[in-house]
Amino acid sequence: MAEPQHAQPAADIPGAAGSAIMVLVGAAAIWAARDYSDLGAVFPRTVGALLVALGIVYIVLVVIGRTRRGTPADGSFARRALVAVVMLAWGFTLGPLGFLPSCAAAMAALLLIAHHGTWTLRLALLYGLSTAAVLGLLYVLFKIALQVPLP
Amino acid sequence: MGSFDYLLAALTPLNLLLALGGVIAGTVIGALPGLTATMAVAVLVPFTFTMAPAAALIALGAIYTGAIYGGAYAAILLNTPGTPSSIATTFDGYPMARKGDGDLALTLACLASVVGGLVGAGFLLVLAPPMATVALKFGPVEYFWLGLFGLTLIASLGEGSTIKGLIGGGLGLLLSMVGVAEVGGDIRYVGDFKPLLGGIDVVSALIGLYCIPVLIDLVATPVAHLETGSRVASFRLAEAWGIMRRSKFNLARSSIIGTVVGILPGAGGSIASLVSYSEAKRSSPRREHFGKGEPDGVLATESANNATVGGGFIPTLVLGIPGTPPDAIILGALLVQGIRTGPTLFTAQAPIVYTFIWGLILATLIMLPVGLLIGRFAFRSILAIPKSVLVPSVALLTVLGSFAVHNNVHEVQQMVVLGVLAWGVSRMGFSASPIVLGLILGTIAERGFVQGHLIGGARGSVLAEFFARPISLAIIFFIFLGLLWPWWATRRARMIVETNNG
Repeated sequence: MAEPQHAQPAADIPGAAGSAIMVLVGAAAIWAARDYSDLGAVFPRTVGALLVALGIVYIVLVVIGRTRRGTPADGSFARRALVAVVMLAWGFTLGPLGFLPSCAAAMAALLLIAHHGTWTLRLALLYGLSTAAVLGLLYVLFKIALQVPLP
Repeated sequence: MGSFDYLLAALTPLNLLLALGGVIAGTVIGALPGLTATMAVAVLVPFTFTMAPAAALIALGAIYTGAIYGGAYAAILLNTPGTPSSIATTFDGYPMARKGDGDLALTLACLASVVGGLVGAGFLLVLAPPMATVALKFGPVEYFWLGLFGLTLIASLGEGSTIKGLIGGGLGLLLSMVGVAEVGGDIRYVGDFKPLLGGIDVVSALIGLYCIPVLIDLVATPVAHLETGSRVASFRLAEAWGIMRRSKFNLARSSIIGTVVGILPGAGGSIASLVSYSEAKRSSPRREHFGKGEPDGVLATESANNATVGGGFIPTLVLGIPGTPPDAIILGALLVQGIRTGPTLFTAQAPIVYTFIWGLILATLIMLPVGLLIGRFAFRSILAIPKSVLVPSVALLTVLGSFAVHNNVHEVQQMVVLGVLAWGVSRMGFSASPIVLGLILGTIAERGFVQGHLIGGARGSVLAEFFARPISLAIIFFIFLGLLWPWWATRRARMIVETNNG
């Protein structure tokens, strides 16, 4: 019986890409610090240089094969990306739309994205009403009990 | 009056009721992600203005201690720190919950919080004046070194790669520099976006960095968000007690770290729990289990953050310098009550102060039954909630929590942008904890450095200012220890493996 073939550990390409981005971020931090006062520029330059140096070191480690890629996350990337988009939209429409409309829209969108099974009328009503109740309860708690001036 | 008389004064039905109500209110508010202990105290402080001073202090102390403990619920059950103090509780608490040991983690958190709270309150009772004198000797340079010491912890917090941990810490440091510099007034990394002039709000950033990636990952698969395990929602007290007995040194060390960090003005539960977690990991024979659901991690962080409550009251009461942000609010409440804090407080207004300290001890003891019961209820409830309802509900709490800190929409935007950024970098293998540590400690380290530099320049020797002070030298020693320890531990582990292999 043949020995099972063990695949070589994959190189950490995402880590190298992230490190390359951090090198750029560090370089940008140093570049932006040229206009600051001497004392105000010490920390930005130091930290920027540190990011550049560490980023390059990690890329070199990836190139020479001294790193190993972590286990990729299971599940749907599209659902993840949609949640990210909804959260960003929520944050930036909270002011213009107002608290209740933006929260209701975002929570409904998240409810739809997070549900994996088939929808039935009963389930839609149950989940929809539960989510609306959470929104209503927290709205009353913050707006009336805690006097938070919600937008 | 003797100590026993002060204890009796604290034992009135009204004081006991206030302690019970304060612990429950604090625990519930602290358990909601985004609502900090500071917010719990701030929101409820107006209710105490009409009370007698000792009763008001007992109520505020109970709210504070309950809120710090309450943060553990969301940290353990949702991987979302309820308060910044419970950041490090997510490291092992959530993995425990994922493995079906959430009920054990909650019981451990409750017991550790009670032990830590009692140690902190005990220090407050016995050692307040001499320890406050030591804290008073910390100047800007000591804070700079203290900040650097905290940053060395990044090496042990990076999951898998120390270099990636340090890169994440560097990103956090850069984020801490956004806005108007505290010393010098340079406007840094703001561009034309004026809302960033005030810098990145730490609480909003913490909510975003920790909560949003969890929410994003929760929707990816249809599997349940928590494993129920075979012994769900039981107290598992005997098991927890056994773990505590085994880890009594960890518990004692973490409680003392929490008390000492609480005494240092400006530090707080988040730093205390991170430092104690790091120390627990370094000294544990099971250090490879940390981050994967090690009960010692939960014991260390929860005992340390609750010990900061008593520790933080030491400079607050003796010097009038708040040890932690909630202490600043309590200090304000004391001034409204007409109480002047300072070295004479323990003599001139001894009945109020000692009755309060005993009240704090009673509130901490009350936390045991309250915490265990609420923990059981919370665990059952969160297990029963379908993921598709949980995700929008927690998302709403993150939005509300980040808005309510300063009633500012821009902080909600910071929260979501940083959260999505954290999710993006996590896919590249960079974890959020080093970023958070850099963000928290960056301001402390830079302020200390710039002020120390200016003072050293005025005194004629910047080098002497940084390297010739005894407390600084002691902290520098610990920095080297912190940097060398992971290298030494890895080398030692490799030698043991090689020896075992032949």
